[in-house]
Amino acid sequence: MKKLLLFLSLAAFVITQYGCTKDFKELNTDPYALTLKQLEANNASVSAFFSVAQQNLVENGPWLTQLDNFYGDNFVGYVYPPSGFRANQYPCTFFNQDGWQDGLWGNAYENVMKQTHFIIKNAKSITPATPTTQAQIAIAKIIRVAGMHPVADGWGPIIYSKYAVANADLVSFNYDTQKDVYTAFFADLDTAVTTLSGLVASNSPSTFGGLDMIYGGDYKKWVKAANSIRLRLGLRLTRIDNATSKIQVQKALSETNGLITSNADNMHVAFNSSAGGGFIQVSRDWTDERLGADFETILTGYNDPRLALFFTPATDATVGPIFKGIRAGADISAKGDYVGYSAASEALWGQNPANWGGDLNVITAAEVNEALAEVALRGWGTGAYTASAQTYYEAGIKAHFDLYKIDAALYNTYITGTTLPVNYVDPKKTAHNATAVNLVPVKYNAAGTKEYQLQQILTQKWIALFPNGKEAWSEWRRTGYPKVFTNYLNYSGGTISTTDGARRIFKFAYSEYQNNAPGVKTAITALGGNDVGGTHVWWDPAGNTANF
Amino acid sequence: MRTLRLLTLLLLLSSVAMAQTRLISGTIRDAKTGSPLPSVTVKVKGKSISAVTNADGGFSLTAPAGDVTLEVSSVGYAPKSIVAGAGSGTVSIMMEVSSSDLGEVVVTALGIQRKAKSLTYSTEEVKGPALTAVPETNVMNALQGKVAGLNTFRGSGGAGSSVNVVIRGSKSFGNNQPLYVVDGIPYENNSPTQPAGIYNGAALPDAGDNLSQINSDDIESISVLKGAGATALYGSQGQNGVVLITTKKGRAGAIAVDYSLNYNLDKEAYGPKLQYTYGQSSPGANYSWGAKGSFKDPRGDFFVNGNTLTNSVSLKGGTKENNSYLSFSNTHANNIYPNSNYNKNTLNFRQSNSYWGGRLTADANVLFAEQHYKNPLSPGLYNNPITGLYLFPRGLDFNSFKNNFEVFNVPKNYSLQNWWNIDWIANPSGGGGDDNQQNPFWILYRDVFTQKTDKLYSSLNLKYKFTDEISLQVRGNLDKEYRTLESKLSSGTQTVIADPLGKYKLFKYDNQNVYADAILSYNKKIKDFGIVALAGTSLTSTNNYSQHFEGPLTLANVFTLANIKYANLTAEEHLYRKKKEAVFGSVNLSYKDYLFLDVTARNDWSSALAYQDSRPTKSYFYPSVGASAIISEMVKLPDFISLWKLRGSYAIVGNDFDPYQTLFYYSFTNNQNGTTASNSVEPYPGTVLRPEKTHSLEFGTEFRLRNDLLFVDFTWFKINTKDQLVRTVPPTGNLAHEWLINAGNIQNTGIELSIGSTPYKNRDFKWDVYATLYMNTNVVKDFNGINDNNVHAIAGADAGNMTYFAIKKGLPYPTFFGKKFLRDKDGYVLVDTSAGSVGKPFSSLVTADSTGLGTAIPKALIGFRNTFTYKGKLSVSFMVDARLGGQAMDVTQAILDEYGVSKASADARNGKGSFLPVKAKYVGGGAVSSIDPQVWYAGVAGRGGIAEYYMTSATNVRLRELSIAYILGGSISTKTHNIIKGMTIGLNARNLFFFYKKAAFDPDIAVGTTNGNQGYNAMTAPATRSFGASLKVSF
Repeated sequence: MKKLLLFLSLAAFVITQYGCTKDFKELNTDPYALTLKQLEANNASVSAFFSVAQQNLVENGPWLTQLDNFYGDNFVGYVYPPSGFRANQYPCTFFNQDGWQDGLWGNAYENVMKQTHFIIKNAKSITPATPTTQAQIAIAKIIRVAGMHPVADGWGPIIYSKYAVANADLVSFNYDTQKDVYTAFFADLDTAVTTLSGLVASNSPSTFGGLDMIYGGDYKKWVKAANSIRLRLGLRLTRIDNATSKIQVQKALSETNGLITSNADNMHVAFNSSAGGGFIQVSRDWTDERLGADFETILTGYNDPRLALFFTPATDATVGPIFKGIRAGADISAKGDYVGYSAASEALWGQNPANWGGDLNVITAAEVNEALAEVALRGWGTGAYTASAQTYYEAGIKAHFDLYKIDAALYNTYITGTTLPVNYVDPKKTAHNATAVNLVPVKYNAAGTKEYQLQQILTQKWIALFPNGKEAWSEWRRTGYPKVFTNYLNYSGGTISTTDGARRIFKFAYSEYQNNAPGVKTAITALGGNDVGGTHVWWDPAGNTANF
Repeated sequence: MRTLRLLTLLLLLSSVAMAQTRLISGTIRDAKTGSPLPSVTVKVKGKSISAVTNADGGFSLTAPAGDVTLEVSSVGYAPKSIVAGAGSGTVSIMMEVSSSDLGEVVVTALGIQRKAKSLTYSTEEVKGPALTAVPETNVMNALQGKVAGLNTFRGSGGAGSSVNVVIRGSKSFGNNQPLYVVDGIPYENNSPTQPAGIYNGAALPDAGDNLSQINSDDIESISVLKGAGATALYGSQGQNGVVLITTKKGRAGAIAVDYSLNYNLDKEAYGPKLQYTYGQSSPGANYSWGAKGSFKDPRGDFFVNGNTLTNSVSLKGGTKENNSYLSFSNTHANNIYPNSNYNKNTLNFRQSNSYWGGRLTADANVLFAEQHYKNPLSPGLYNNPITGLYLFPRGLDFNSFKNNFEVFNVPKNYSLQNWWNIDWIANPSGGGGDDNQQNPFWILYRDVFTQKTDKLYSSLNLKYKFTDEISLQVRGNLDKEYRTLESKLSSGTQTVIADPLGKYKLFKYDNQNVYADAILSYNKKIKDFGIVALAGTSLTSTNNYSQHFEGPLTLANVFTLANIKYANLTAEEHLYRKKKEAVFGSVNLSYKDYLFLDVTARNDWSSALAYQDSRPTKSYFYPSVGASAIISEMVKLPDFISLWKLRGSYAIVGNDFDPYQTLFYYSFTNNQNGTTASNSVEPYPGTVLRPEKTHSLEFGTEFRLRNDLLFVDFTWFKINTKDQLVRTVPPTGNLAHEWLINAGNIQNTGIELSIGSTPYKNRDFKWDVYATLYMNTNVVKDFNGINDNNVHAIAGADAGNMTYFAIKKGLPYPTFFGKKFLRDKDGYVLVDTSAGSVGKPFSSLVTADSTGLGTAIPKALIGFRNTFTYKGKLSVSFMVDARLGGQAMDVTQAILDEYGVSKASADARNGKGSFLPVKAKYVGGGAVSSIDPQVWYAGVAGRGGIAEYYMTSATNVRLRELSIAYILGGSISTKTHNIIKGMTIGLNARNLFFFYKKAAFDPDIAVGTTNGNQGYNAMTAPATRSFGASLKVSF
């Protein structure tokens, strides 16, 4: 009986020892994830989200770079894949591959929109508000505009004001028209500039330097960045709403802290890697990226020293050791045919980004100066920015040469160049050959027509934007410059007109069709056309090609 | 613990040393057929000495000197007793078939033994010999076609692969695998890594599951409890049915030694049809759309013969009070790829003791299993040797890359991959080439994946009988498992997959599962009424911890954690932690042993429900009720009917969900970009998560004619699973990565039919037939009432660009979705008219599609097994099984077509000028009379091609198993001992041929065993045809 009691008490012990639900909450707390509570120490609930948001303003890694190559870089003739993916049926030939563009959409939403949303939301919940939390909110808004305007430019309508605000069904999210998104961008910049310029004026010390990979917490530089982005976006509206365009441009020019006109103020992300970014990885490691025919022929025609800096001569024996690019929309049957064309320069891109200012530029002095040249050409100069178009044009080129540490003597020769872009010759397939189309020289012609001068300015802006294909594609859609070769293959099935030059929008994300069908309906209404690559976005009105 | 072990060992030794008396051995046979009868209990009358016959009908026991009476009893036979005289050492006993087969005892939920006739639901049992006749490295594969209602998909990894088992159709959007129970105690079956999607090779292959750790020779029998009624007592884990594995235990009697040897030869079979008559498109081209010629099939230079050698030895013996079973087995298998193999060692010890005159019984088991996998076969486009093999441009010399899969690179001073499109001189940094086809030998010798698994499993079962009516049982197990997975990708691998200097991945798993229960039972018979009641409580605790390290190397090909580039190191750890507690009870009432009523009830508390303090989400309760009647005993039926039984049951089973889903989290990673934070999973907006409930209704009948002429078991079932927890992909505007929603009502309606018969038998010859039929209709009745018309993509299930899996009201779950042809109103496929692509088909918008492309779920499964026995010594058995209905998606074919290496693409070219695979019209009208094959395939083929074109019927009929066994007559004896008591030799074959198969691959093989990774082929290793020989010797 004693033994039995022992046995029973052992059984009872086992059951009572384990049998309780008191520890359920503890057990059901993932020890390797974070709760908001854990993030509150040192206000990491705000700061922890900055690094991802900032890094994703620029191409982050080879896969996204490759998507950029497919959607943007090739449209403006920067680069072209030698790979002939999927028997040439892919975005570079205007063939729609459902879902391929989702990576760019998803990255912007996941890593910029969402992160800035958390920064703003969590910073607002910290009471009382401090100058630091206010500055963090303001900077998050600038990052959000910088990261989301390429999305709005590519897709047109996007989810912005209704982000994280579901419809009555709780599960769908409406899109804003591109016009409303632009209005929201300007409003975001307004509040950010008001906050930060106030802090600059009161000499408020910045206390979050280490978390800011872009400006180390320098508020004045952030205001300059905000003003420069406003200039970029303001100019975007020249064709659709000239009055608003002028208002926003002049607002950017008159803000007391000024614009990014010197390389020291460039907005770029210090990428924490010693081996370059995605640009070199796609070219070198994946061998999926080669020089584009437009970049080759225009820079060759100009004897532009930047071509040899950015690319290496062809290694293919039938081409010879010259710079050779691939025609947009090329018909490529074997990768081996084109992989020996000019590749990205390991000597430049393979090195520490600190040596070359980074390919990871968001907005630079070179671009801003070219924008100021256009502003001058339009006669909108004001405040501290009233010099001539030619002055800004040349200052832009100089800033870009300086960024890449190119000898000043080369610059002096360059700006007097009168040679024109050369014709494109493809040694592998003569059908790809094309006569030069962007027939303006480097030497500025202040006596030329406004269109002529604009073409010169936009051509240099295009070079300065390299390799930011998305922004160059937007500027090309807005102005038509530089003139680029038409796509050789057009597998759009008639939805993109070859004579219209290029794809005009990205198709809405495949995942959105799957998961947010009611929202996509609002998007298509907002787009005002079919969701195909040939439809124009709001600021690029179809049929209106007048720049002035 | 150590003392206990020592004690056990002593008990074992003493029981062996005790044998002072004489040995009686013998054979028990069927009186009519002469076939040996296994599992017959032999008792010495008046003593507690007994033995059970082995597979060959043989037994031996130690009896006291002098005359003894042996009592033999077996299910289906009339009990018999014979006198063994003082001098007799061997006896031969013939048993007569009994008039009633109703005494059969089966193991049911919680290990409770019940008379088969009292069950109110359907179960089916497969005995050990049927499992091992054709050996499998994962025993669950041997069940296909042998149990009605059970369907298996074989994992893709080759020997030791995991297996996906589904009983009565997929019920859950989550886990559909049944609960495994070994000797009454739940046995955790997890598979930490499963291939998924077509880019899998960059991830991990099938790491096997815990079932592959069991030595199939240790298994006495497997019972399958199919319906919720049968499994209600197991709670949530039993929702998908229960597979009860009963292992062998020691027997009273002298030590018996059984040895078995199996050898299997596997040959590559059922691979895709390829072409060797059209060459490479142009020098350096990936595709083979070139000129006509005659080229060599490189497959013969790649595939090797696979083989499996299994050695297993077991010892059992002891007294009735103390007996033990000890076994050791080794399995070594080479897969059909070079340098791909599997090794397993298992050691199993089981000790059963009884104390205090049998009032307390203790049954303990310790299992150690060690497995080693090298290069399991991995599907997908990346790091898969067969992509490079199949796509190899026609006309190049494959053999030149076989022995020279690497070349020494002078500047780098080590060897790099050698392949037709890689040139390290022209491209010193990356080599060029393609990410999806590398040198197969390079992958197998220089991108080596290994896995090592150690498992230690122990269980203890104590039972105390207070009186004949009341007893208490306490038992538990501790299951520890350690896995180490390593992937060493050498420098010279495509840099999309590895990094320029190589990549190292290390995964470590440390899993611990504890189960314990206590059950008080009461058993009473008053006149015609019987009652069996029990009340119990149980605890399940799961702690699965894992670590993952991964990153590019600093020094080339030095695969250590220290050599990973610090800035690019991925380091993660995870803990899957859950505790569940339950109280349960059941009452079984019987009247006159022909009317039975079962009622069960259970309440579960799960830690996964924490933070949800409102009812009904805090814990969950579920009942079941069932009844059965033996009509043949209630009323007088014609004499030839020996049994007619009706049964019915209704049961609800609740289920919780994965841990950590009731609280909002930010995820946390550390990579080269610094610390990042982002939120993860959250409940569907506006909802509180509820446990899911499965409602199961079944009716069945069993019917048996005398003399084994016919046995029929028929079941109709309807199962509705409600409030399923679904992981869906939220739209962009939402903050969560995934939404969890209680949704859906998946309904499975179907029938199961098992028919057994002995159509012919005489004294020497016997023919047995066993057939199973299973039909099921699966449909999603509701989604959630809010957005029923949407197609909900299933998170984590994706066949790449071609298809995805989704849930939609009115369609089966899961349904394939993908691109379809763009057709006009008359059904003509519309094709392009633009220059260069005349005839290229257009695809319709996937997003406008709401009907999908079909489901992988078969409509019916049929198993048909025949056994012929001659003189009880020679038996020949074969099994034909058929899978009818269901679709399969052939991504492999789409890729082969794109590259112009498929036979279909060559046939199309041979018929150029009249090639018209579908009826088509040009856009804007105009009939199409033929399409250029290359243009056609450029439009439909490839991994992003038109899925509709690559859906094929999964229907197949095959000769799954064929086995021949011969029992060598007579035993080899010396004067005092039998040295060899029995010997059986056998030959077997598996997957010998298909009578019918439409798909280009074996649709039984799945990419992965998780939901949504079945029914499609993405460069999965070809199925094999295997031949084996076996030897079983009893000493």
